[in-house]
Amino acid sequence: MGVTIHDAELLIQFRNPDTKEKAFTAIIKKYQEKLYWHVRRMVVEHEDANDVLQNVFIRVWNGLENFREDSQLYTWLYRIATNECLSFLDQQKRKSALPLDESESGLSNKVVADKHFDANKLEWKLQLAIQQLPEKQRIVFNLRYYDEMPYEEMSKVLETSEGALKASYHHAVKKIEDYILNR
Amino acid sequence: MRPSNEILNELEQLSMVVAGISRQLPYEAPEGYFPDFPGKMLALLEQDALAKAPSPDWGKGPAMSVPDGYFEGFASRMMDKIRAQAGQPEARQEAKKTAAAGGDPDGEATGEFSPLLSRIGKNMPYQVPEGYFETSIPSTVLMGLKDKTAYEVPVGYFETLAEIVIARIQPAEVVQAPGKLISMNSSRKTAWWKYAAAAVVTGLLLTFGWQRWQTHSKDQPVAVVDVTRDLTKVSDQDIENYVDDHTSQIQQVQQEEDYANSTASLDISDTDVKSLLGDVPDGDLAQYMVEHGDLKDYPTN
Repeated sequence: MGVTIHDAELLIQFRNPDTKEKAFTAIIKKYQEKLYWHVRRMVVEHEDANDVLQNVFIRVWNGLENFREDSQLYTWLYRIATNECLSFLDQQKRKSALPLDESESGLSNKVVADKHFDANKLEWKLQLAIQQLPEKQRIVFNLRYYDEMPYEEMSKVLETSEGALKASYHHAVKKIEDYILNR
Repeated sequence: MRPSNEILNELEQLSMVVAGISRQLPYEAPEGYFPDFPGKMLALLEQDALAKAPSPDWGKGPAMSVPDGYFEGFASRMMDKIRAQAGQPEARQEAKKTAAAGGDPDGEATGEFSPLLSRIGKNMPYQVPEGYFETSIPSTVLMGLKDKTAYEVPVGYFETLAEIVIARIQPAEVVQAPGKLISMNSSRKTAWWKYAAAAVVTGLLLTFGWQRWQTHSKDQPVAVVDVTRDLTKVSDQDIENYVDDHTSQIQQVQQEEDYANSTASLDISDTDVKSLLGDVPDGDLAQYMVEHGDLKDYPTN
């Protein structure tokens, strides 16, 4: 990402009680949009994304003191956001009456329910195709396609080997292609 | 929004269809969401911290309170209640007396809430059959239910159960049999040694085989039989005797050969016949012709 030095400075400021809030505000400003869209693509609705994002930053606030700098802040934030998304989706599945394997259709329904949804637009069809993917493949596709995250970084976020991530991305793209061509 | 070259190239290799789709997200965030978010987030964190932080008066006062005068006379009230519940008439009378004297809160309370209820006796109007409580109810009930089951099984279920279970277990065992774990590294080493051993054994076999074949061919030459030369040693009389003895067999073989090679027999030319019968004396041939007059007259010499 090329911002590691800046993150290191922010972390030093965060550990100083006088500049803690200022540093945290800077961290939020820096990463809020990236994390918001990462979360939004996973949970679809803005209200849900907002809830999850707030939880993410509360966790960051509570854990940043003990953050070990052997990994990048950027990677650590994405990992927290991803875990929060998965926890949220898990809760949604448990709450909904839908069986676990049909939970993707619940997300598709949310996509269709968006006030800007237009079935004729390819961007929306792509979103529907993404929602058909299994969770892991969806995360890998989003991180690679939208966030342009290198596999090396992604392997740190998801704690998965680069080879497995490449395979996941390959499968995801093929499934999306199939969905777009055949539906 | 165009993806970087690396992402685009990778995507084009995987799917031209997906690579052709705009990466623009169709979702929208509410206006002013991002500028306001850090402020809202900090306010939220403050609230969170306040909720978690201990109050300044924490531990200074009692967390719970009791009505005034609760502990005064608590022990005597407690004992009265225990006696009343134990069904002691004297105790009940005493409690009533105490209540009448204004010292029993139980009696007072009942009277305060419902004067009518306080006048009604506490005797139960219901009756139970004599000796009912002497009999152990649970055991009676259970004895009656012992041989009854609420559930039913299909007819013949238990007759076929064993077979069904075995039939299900057998394939499951096959499926669940743990697969042999073969280490990738060790298998490569083993394969190398196997190939080397196989090559050595093959080489040895070929060498010994070649030597043996050579030795055989030098020591034991193939026997060649010169039939023409050997036949000259046999007298004509012996040949005739042999032919006479085996006429029927020779004819049969000849017939079979004629049938099998009938086409080939037509290709025998006069020259072939001459060369074949050239050594036979004319007298023998004449006699043969007399005996087999119906045969074609081939010129011999």
